[in-house]
Parts: sequence; structure tokens; C-alpha cells
Amino acid sequence: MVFLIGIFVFLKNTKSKVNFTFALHALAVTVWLFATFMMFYQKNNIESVIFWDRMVYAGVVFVPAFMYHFYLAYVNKRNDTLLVIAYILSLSFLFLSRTDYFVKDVFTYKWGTHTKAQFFHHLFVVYFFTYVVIWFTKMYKFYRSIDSLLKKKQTKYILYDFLSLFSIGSLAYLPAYGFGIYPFAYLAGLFFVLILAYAIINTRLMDIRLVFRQSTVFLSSLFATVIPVFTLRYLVELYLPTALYWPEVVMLVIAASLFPVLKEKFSRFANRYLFTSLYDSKFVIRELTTALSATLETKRIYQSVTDSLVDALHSKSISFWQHVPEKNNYVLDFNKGLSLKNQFKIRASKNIFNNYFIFSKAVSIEELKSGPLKNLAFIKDFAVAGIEVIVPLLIKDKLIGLICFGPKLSGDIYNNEDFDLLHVISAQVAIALENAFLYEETKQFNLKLSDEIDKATKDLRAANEELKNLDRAKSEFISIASHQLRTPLTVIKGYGSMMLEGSFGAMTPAINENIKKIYDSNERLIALVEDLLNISRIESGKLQFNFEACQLEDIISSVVEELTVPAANKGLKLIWQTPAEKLPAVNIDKGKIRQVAINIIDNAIKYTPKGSIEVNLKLDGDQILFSSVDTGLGISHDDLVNLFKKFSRGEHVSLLHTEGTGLGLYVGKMMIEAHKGRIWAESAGIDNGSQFYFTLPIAK
Amino acid sequence: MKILIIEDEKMIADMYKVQFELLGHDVTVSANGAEGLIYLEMNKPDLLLLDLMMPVMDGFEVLEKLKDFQARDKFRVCVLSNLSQEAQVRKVLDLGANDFFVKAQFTPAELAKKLGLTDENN
Repeated sequence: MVFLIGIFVFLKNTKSKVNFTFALHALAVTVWLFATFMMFYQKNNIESVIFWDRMVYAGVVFVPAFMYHFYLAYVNKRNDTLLVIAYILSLSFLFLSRTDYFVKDVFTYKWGTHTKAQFFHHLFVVYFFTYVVIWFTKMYKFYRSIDSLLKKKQTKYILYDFLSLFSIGSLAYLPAYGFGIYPFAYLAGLFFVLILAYAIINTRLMDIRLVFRQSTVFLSSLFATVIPVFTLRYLVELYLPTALYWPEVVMLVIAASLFPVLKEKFSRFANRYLFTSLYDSKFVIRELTTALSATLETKRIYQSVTDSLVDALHSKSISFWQHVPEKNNYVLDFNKGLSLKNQFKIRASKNIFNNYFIFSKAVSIEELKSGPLKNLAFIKDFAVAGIEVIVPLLIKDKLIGLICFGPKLSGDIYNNEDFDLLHVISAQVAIALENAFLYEETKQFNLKLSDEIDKATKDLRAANEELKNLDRAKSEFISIASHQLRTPLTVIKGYGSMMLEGSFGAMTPAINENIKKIYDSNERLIALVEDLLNISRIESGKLQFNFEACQLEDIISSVVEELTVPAANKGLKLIWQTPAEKLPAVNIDKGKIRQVAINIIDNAIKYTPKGSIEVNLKLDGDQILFSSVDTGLGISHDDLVNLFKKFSRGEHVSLLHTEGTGLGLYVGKMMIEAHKGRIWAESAGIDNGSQFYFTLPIAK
Repeated sequence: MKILIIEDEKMIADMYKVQFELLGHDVTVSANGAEGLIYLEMNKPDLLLLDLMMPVMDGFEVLEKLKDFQARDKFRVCVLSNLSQEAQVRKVLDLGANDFFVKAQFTPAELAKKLGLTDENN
């Protein structure tokens, strides 16, 4: 039995040193017990007694070493020299026990025989007890130093266990010295097992509880099968001695078929009546993973987790708490089984976080209560709420929340397997919840975003209104300004012209001449206002164009007609010939284009002292080309560059003609370009005449 | 012709009056729209020269009022203004004016010709 336990412990956690050393110790004890048993069994055969006794010691010599090793593993200390010494001594005694210096001959007692102790045996006993004392002292000191209630409990049992083993078991040495004490000492082995079993069950010691239970199920079903089979065999042997082989086979067959059935029955029995939740962690994890990946809703997540975990762990209650870092508390978000209302809050504790949660491991209230932070209100709050286990949900180092479990319905404690399961699940649940929270945040954010957009557009709309107002004000200004400027100009023009026409009577030549100057000057002013107005309108985008399809030749004809007289007055020839073939129509603002033509031809007249001005229109691809060629003063290269700019007047000609405002060609350029046409001038140089061109696209 | 000029700038109004009278027409001047309308009712002129920018009642309003005149088709309305925005011209023509001239562009003599007041048409 001891051996079996040892094997289970070892198998449970081959990596754990504690388990390993314990297994070794168990092995040693097993050897001791078994060999002793054999020794007694063979009590009549001296030779075998001695043989088996040596066997006994083969096991016993290692007991101190293994024991000490177990202690070191249990308290998590590194192997020290004491251990090395122990092993050395054990090994040496192993060899010595083969010799007669160790034990020799036998004592015969009524109950059996035992070898006699020799010299090295004495040494061994000394060694044995030294280490026992060391072990107990150290173990006890450790026991005193433990804070965790759970560990304390476990250690207590270990102490009791080994105490019983050694106090009673050591008495087994006495027969070697001639004391005929009945070897009830070997019962110590039994006690060892029993106490250990109790420790395992109640204190999660070495956590082989599950295995223990499963093996119990296994063994009980095994016995349940074997016993009737053997009884049957025995009966058959008794009554049908001859038919020996057939029954054997039949028996085996019956046993083999009975066994699984019975095992199943026992397993279910154990599950139902003992509340043992022998669940399959992998199954739970798989099931939960599937459920978690199917939803983004926090409520659903809580429900899925509740369903699978409560089913597996049989907890009385489960609750989910959301961590609110700004308020530094946990808010109850969902619970099943707790007698608290939702939104119940518990203050968070940085200490708890730094010492426990940050390791992403589930922690039990028991552990916290016996830890260094036992007095924190945090622990009290949770304990009062009826919570036994807290599982932190972490993503990287951020604590999202907690899952809390109440005690199990069966009253059992949460074992290592449960904690492992919770550890794995916590990572998954943390991620799922984080996603759900982010999803909710996104939804909220979207709402917030549309609010912000509305607000922003409100600002924009307001700004737009402002702009519209400004625009209107500008228009009004232009209108009023032009109107106000023109009024006095009109008066001067009107009376001036009438005077010059003689409507107020004859004037002396001198007066006439001077009135003319006033009149002419005024004309310039009017032209200037006109230009300024146009430019202002163009630049503020207010210039309206009235596009219509028409024949360009008609417009040019009318312009030429208007300017024929002024040209003739200067003795210039104004040549224009309507094209023979009708040109394609153009989509233009008649008034504006007319103005441009007038400007150009008028300029030509102005700057041509003698000769002619030839005006032409012709079709050039998809454009109509207007040209005005004169024999006038020409344009210098420098002037040509700046010709169409604002306020430019030829440097050369400025001395001669000072009336121009310098805006005419600029406005002309604006107009033509607004029609998607092109305007330019060419000249061979001073006194070589000039040519002005513009193109207009034909109407599509 | 019987001509009514509705114009608040006295100098300009008189300017045209002199010119048109020189050409032999009967000219009356009204300084604002309201006065002008009353005169219009009482005496039926052949031609109305209307300024736009006037206090009390501006040219646009007068045009509006004129729309309801029964005898509207018996006389011509020409708007004389120093405003020259496209939009305003359009508005004026939509309101029923027969013509639109920018004062600053023409001498009174030229205007008379444009209005058909000169000897050739008289």
C-alpha cells in the first residue's frame, strides 16, 4: 500500500522534487516493510531470515537520507552538505549491511527471529537517530515559520506522520538488541499510510487526491471483481477438484468482462454520492474556448464561463468583478449564487495586486488570510461576501477584473488541478472580456464620434454663415462704391458734354478748350472706375458671365463700326473683312468680349500715328483666332513681358500717352481666360508695329 | 414726348431735363418714387426714366408698384442707374422695365439718342 502511494505520488508530478523524494522515502519504507514481512514469513529458515533482514536494512539505510532530501525539497531549500553526508553514509552502510560486521546470527523470540546487531549496526543507529532529530528540529522550525494556513496544515500532518513512523518504527530496532518486544512497531507503517492518506485528502498534500480517488475507484472495482471470482474458484476447487483448468479460463473471462462494468458503476457512485467532480480539464477548456470565441457580448461571456466552470467545479457561487482603475475598485458585474446586488463595489488593493494578482495565479482567501497582508480590508470584504477563490484576469500587466468562486458544494477545497484549470481559463476569459469591453467602447465611441461631428459641423455651419454674410457685405460695398463714385462722374460728364455741345450757349475757344480737358480727364476717371469695378468683381469671383451662343464676326463688325470714325479722325485705315465662310458659333458673354475687342483696337488706334490697323478672324482648329495688326509704335521686348499685368503701361509709350489706366489689357486677359481662350501680343520691336491676338473655343 | 424723370440727385435730374427740353420734350422731375407714382397716376407720360438708388422708395419698389398699373403698356420705363451688376440688370428687366442704361457711360446727348428722343425720331 505504501509502495502504491509512493508510486502515485511520483507519477503525479514527476517534476516535483517533493514528490520524487517522497516517493524514494516511500520506496525505502516499502522495502523495509516487505522484507520484514518476508523475514517473519520465513521465520523457520535461519538463512533466509538473515537474508531478508539484510534486505530490510537495504531499505532502512536509505531512510535518513531520503527523509532529509524530502525535507529539503519540501521547504524548497537547496541541497546542502548535510544531505551529501547522509548519502555517503547511507551508501557505506548499504555495503556494510552485507557483512557480518553489521548483523550476524539471530535472536530467537517466541514470535519470530531477528538478526543480532553488530558493531556497525550501532553506528548506523546513531546515524539514523541523529538525522531523525535533525529532521524533526528543522521541520518543526519550518512549521512555526509558515504563514499559510493551508501549508501549515499540510506540514502538521507530515510532522505527525513521520513522528508516528519513527517513534514507533524505531522500536523495531530493539529486537536487534535482544529486546523481545513484539514487533507491533511495524504497525507504524500502517499508521504512516493512514495519516498520510488523511493528509492527502484533507490538505491537498502532494495533490494526489484525484489520483487517489481514481485509484480507489479502480481498486474497489478490482477487488469487487477479484473476490467473487476467487471465491468461486475456491468453491469449484472444493467440489470439483478434477475440473481444474476449465474453471480457470471461465473465471478469467468472467473477471475480464465484469471488471469494466463494475469500474463504471463505482465511478458513477463516487461522482454522485461523494460529489467528486472528476472532470476532464481538457474538455472544459475546449468547451469554454469554443463558447468564448462565439460572442462579443460581456453577458454571454459571463454566462458561458459560469456554465462550464460551475458544472466542473460544483461551486456554490461564481461572480465576475470588473476592475475600474480610475475609481480603484472592483464592481460586481455578474453573479450567480452570491447574495450581493449588482454594482456592488469593493476597493482594490495595490498590495494584493503586486504580491498576488500580477503573477496571474488564482489565489484562495485562506492563503491570503494567512499571508503577510492578512489584515487588509480587501481580504475581509471578499471573505464576508462568501468568496473562497479569486482568479485575476490579466492581459499583459493590466488587470481587467476578477472571477470569484464561493466554496464547493461538496465542501471540498479547490485542488491543484482546479487551480491549473482556472489559470488556463483566466487567460482566455481575460482576452474575451477585453475584446467585449473594447467592442462596447467602440460602440460608445461611435456615438460620441457622431456627436462630435455634429458639433464640428455646427461650427462649420456657423463659419459658413459668417462667410456668406461677409460675402454679401462685400457685394454691397462694391455696388455702393461704384454707384457713389459714378454719380459725380456722371454729372461732370453730362454737363461737360452739354457745354461742349453748346447747349448752354457759345463758349470762347479758351473756355471750350479747357472744358474739354476737364471732360477728357473725367472720361479717364470713368474708365478707371469701370476697370476697378471689373477687377474687383473678377477677384472676388463676383463677375458674372452671361454665356450665349453667337457669331463672333457680328460682334467684331459692330466694334469696328464704332471705331471707324475715331480711326478716320486720325487718318488711319481700319481694315476688316467679314470672313467669306460663316465661322462656327462661340459660347461667350457678348458684352465682355466686345469690351476686349474695343480695348485692343482702341489701343491700336491710340498707338499708331499713321498707317493702318487690320482686324481679322479665322478658324484655327477648334478655336477662332482674332488678330489686330497695326503699323504703330510697336512694343519693346521688356514691355511685352509685362503687357498683360496689372497697371502696366509700356515704358516707352508712357511719355506719349498718359491716359491709359494700365488696366485694360489685364482685364482683357481675365475675360479671355474666363472663356478658356488665350490672349497674347507680338511685336518686332520699337516702330515696327504690333500684333494682338486672342482665341476663343468654338461652341461644342 | 411727355417725360417723367424720377431721380433723387438734383444735379443729374436737371442735367437731363435741360438736354431733353432742348430737344423739345416736356420734362417733369420727381425726387422720389412715391411722388413719381402719384404724378404718373395723374398725368400720363410717354416715358419714365427711373433711378434705382433712392431713399424712401427705391427704383425696384417703383417697378413692383408699376406692375399693377392698368395703363402700364401705354408708356415706356427705362431704368437709369449707376449700378451695373448683372444680377441687378436682370432683376430690373424681370420687374418689367423696358431698358437699362448706366448713366456714367453716356452723355445726356448720347442718352437722348438711345432713348429715341432726338430729332430723327421726334
